[in-house]
Amino acid sequence: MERDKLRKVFKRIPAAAFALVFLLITCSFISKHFWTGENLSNLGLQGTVLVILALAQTMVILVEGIDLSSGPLVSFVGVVIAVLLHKNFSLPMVILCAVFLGTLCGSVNGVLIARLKMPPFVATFGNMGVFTGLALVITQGSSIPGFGEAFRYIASGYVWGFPFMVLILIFIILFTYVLLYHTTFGTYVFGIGGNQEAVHLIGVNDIFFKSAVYGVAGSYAGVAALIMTSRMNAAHPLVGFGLEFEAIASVIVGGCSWTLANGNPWGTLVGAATIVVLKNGLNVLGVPPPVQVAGVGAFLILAVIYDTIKKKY
Amino acid sequence: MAERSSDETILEFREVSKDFPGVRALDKVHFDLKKGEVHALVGENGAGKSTLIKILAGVYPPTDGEIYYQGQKVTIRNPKGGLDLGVSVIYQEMNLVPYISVAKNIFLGREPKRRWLPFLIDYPRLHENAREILKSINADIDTRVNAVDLGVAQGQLVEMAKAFSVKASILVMDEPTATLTQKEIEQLFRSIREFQKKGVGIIYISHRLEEILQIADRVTVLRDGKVMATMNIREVKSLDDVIKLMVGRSITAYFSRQFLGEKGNVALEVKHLSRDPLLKDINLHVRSGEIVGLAGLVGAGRTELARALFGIDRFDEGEVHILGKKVSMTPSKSVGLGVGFIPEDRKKEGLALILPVKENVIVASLRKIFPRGLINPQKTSKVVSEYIKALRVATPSIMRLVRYLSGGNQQKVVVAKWLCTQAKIFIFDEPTRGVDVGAKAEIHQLMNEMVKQGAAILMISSELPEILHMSDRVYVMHEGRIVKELPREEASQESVLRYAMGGRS
Repeated sequence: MERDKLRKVFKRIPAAAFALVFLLITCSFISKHFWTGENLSNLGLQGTVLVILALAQTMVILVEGIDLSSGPLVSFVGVVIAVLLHKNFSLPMVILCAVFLGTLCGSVNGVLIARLKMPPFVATFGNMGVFTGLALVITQGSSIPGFGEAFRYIASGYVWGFPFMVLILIFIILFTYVLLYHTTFGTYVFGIGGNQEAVHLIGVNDIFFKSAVYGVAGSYAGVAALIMTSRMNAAHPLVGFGLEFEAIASVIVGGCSWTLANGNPWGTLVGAATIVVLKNGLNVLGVPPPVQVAGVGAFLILAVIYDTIKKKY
Repeated sequence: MAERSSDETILEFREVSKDFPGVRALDKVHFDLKKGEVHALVGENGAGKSTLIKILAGVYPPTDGEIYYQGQKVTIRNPKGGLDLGVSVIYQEMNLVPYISVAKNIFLGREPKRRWLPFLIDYPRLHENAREILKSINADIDTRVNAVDLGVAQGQLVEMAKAFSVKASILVMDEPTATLTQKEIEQLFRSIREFQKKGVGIIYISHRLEEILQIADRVTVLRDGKVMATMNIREVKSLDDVIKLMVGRSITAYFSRQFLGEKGNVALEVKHLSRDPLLKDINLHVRSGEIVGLAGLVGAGRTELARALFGIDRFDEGEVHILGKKVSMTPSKSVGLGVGFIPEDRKKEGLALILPVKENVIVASLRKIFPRGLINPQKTSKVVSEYIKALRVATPSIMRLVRYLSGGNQQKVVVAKWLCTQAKIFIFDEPTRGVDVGAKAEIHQLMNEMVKQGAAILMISSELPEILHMSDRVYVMHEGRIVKELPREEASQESVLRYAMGGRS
């Protein structure tokens, strides 16, 4: 009985958790600078955008979906932010527009998938192209630099000694937790993923809620775009390239199964942290960025192999 | 038990009929349910029980007839309409959300909210209410556990709690005890009695007749979509009365088989095969030159056995012998050993509908006929044409897409596929499901010819007349076991059905 319990607990721990511990130990050996405040805050900065997108991706994967367009959506919203800033829109207005545009684009994905029953892969794959294209059209392929002090504060400001960005991150994490576990909406998210028929049979508008999940995911992309654009102090039409890959990878190595709707934000957090630390470690070792991408991919596959084997025992 | 029910009728079906293309699933059915009674619904596979339930739940509209709820005529348009009337159906497959707690499942969509922040779930109250409901139906389940970690019995109790929490006035249970242990069944019955006390009318579908005597107040027997009788349970003297009403389906246009005196060697033998929890210690054998029928009710494990035999699903214990040799099966090996599997769902598992007849027939033999991997089209056409002619498949050419063929001809294409591999042992799962009467006789004739030429056939069928007409011997399955082997002379509709329902001689 005791052993069974132990096994159960062990089974709940995703591969990423072990990997994270391993990486943290390794990194402290290979780099003296790893545990310095500077490097850690650097990690936080790098991780914020990823964590936000990964949490959005978690909700989407919970409803048996996938969002390939979240990276390009960050680029697109970022470009629009730049245009609005240069047209002298007020900061609150810009923030509102960014979140709204993200929600709108996400909802388009949602309607295509939930209402028109398109496979999530196809719908978001198409929009991946659409968003990238729109960003390129608006900027004509180059980047839009140079924003005011106030906007740069989002990513570089400090509140009571904390980076403002990290406060946003903490807020988003709490928001996701409350949304998933303390609201009816969250219950429906688990319900639609686990057994859509059951949700439908109790008279809930399952199609509306499924689309809404993509809308919420889009709003997260809007927030990520604000942070990204502020940090770079420029909008580039390809800045979000590959972000969706890392976001999806975070969810999977965080232990969420593709079809079971068993994911949770904590697993995703661990997954995202692992990927950030892994990249940081590879960086320290002088591994060039393209090889780092391969490293993340290989890690993803190893983690899934581990989870598959684990299931048998 | 009968004393508990009052005379107040909550539900009444009057002359309800339901037509599906080519079949009349329900024929002028009268059915009524009283407050606080358990009304059992019994009948063979395909007698119309599920159709009746689905009409009540709003899944199908009736073709004809009227439904009255507490004296009022009603139309149930969709599942929501059924729910609004207070109909809760507990289907055989579970309708719980796996990765949320028991409490959340019970109150899905109706969670109690915090007083000051009305968009947040009030967890203490949620769990308290859930505990209360579970207690009121006598179920001892931790409300914080995720549904995925529940056993079948507990899951069912949670579904009942769900029904209880929506204040259902009619509870439908479809084969609730199919996978429960005796102790769990007793627990379930205790919960059912709690529902009765509250005045809920319960429609109880079960194949286990003993159970019905124990829990039901009345029983209605369906056969071929018609109500044969509705009886008070006290009037039922013995199970045989009920069984007699269930059997006797009209027998039309069955091909009469020629039975051969002598049979060949044992072609297929299964020893002590088990697969937890579906198959338990299966022993059977099929000789070449004979058709062995495998009878049983839906869910008895027949298809699971066929799949395990062919190597599609693994099994935990036991041995399969082909032509006297012990083998470990995978579909690839099975084909090599000369075993063919004609699946229940030919469109999904037996055919590539969008490909022509030619490809469908040759596909399983490609390795044998063209071992080098290069296909010779002329040779393919020649081989396929031979089989198409021999089996009299009605198709204008071998290039015709299979999806345009009739059900019977599609089935023949599946058989041709296996004959083409030179298979000698055939597993037919529902060989004539969904084919018309004429094609049925032709398929039976084909099977007859196959055994004459020394094939061994194991035939699963839910149609008792088919089993009785075609089989040299009959194995009867019940809840994952072979409970009886009947030689042809002793197999009758009554005897097979009695064993299939778990009865003893």
